[in-house]
Amino acid sequence: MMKFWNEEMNEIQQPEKSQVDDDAELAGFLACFGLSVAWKKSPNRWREAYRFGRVVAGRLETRPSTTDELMGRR
Amino acid sequence: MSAQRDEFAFMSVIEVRDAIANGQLCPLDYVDRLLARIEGLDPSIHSFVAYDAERARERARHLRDMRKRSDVNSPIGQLFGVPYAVKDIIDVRGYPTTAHSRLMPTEPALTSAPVIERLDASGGVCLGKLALYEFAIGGPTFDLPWPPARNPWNLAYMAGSSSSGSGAALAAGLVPLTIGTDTGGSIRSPSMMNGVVGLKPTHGSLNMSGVFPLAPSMDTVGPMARSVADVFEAFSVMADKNAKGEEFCSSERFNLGFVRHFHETDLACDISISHAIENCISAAKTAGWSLHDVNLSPLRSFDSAGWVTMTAEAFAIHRDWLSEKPNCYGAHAAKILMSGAFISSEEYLRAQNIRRRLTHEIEDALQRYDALLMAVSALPPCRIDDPDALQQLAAASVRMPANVTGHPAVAIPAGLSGDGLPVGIQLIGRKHDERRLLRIAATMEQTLGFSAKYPYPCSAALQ
Repeated sequence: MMKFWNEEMNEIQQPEKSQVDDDAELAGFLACFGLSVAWKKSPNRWREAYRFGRVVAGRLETRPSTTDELMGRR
Repeated sequence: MSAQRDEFAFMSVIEVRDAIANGQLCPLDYVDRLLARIEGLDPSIHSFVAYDAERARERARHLRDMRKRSDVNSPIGQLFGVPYAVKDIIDVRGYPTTAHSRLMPTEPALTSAPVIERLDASGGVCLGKLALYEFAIGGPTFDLPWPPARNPWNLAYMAGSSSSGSGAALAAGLVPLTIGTDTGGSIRSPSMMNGVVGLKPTHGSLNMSGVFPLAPSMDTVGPMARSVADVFEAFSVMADKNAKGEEFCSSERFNLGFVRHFHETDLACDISISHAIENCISAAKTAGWSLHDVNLSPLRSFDSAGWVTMTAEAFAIHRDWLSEKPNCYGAHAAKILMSGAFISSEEYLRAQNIRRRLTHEIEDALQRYDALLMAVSALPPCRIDDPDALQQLAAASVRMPANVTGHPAVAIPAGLSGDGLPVGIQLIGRKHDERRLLRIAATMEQTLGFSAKYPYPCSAALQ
């Protein structure tokens, strides 16, 4: 798995520490979506979006789902 | 005719229809009066992206002639002769759907969305298309082809997110009925901030064809007007449920759950919002209603599940344009839409599990209570040119819960902020029972006795 999703990224998920200082990582990740050209056209927008997306996802509850929830039971 | 002295500007949907039905009001005269107001006031408010005066007149003329030919006692459509305007993310035949973005095709839509066809079939007169935040997300921004709508209560203030034009046009007396969309609160925010009423229906209850999607698992389309009764009238048409003449305000004493912690402890609440809500509580108790505090999951649980869902789904929709033309988006929408690329599938699925749990939580509460009362926002409207205040206001939203769970929710006016801008309350009801929810809201509206004193005649706009 890409370093992008490694444990190290947990720190970046903290809003006050959010810094994408490795553009190569970000470019590589976006290339997987076929977004290489988009990255070259507007790297600042993607950097900002990355920070925002990780802040949003970092706020999700981490409590594991119960079996009942996963099965759609009450 | 003077736009400032138009006593017809703030007629209700029902008053307009009934006055036309009994021959006291000519549909064409009324449309002309509203068009004059739009021409005079909207260059300062920017609530309309486009309006076609000739087309509206033609339609009104047709309705006038139709009425002349028919017996005065013959039945007419529920919205016969009632002008309306539409958030410009919904297709209306003959108008391009801009979504307030330079990315959308410029060709006119060939057909109207089914919800719009129903308004027309019941006699509605479309005046035009209304401003929004680009693709119904982001914030008021000045880097798009159209300026953002301003709040008629004070033109230095924002008009709510994202159906901003739909709220502003109502508060300015430019039209009696507007249609908005609500994925994360976009009907209820401008309703509160302009002192009008807005209904986010149950997810899936109205046909979403012809509405440009933001996040399909949460997208809804719904009516906005200056009273609950008007919203009910429009919703029954959009949902194809005949309700003409139905009396739905009642003396029933309702049993409400009050979700106090959303605005009091999960967020820092402005004093004017607290006062407005406490006034509601007092008025309801005086009227014999029963109110009990209800504890739900923290607001943050609803917000995070909603944002992960919204950004991931929106990215899937915009992926190709973001790939080919990322710089054609305004900065606000681009940041949020692009951020969906960085939501993993595990996070998206976890958000859906959380949504299921939160949905059960609200359904459980609604087995004990007729509706849940809560704030719409913990902060009142702010200046449109203050990025920090806009960011704080966005973070003070109490609107995501109904989107995450799919329940219907209605925002009604409840007072004014320290700056003289409207603030409101919100009621969440049982799924697919908008009629009961609106009955409760109408009774609350009557009990509160708060009647928005619209900023007639928009003196600031005319200076």
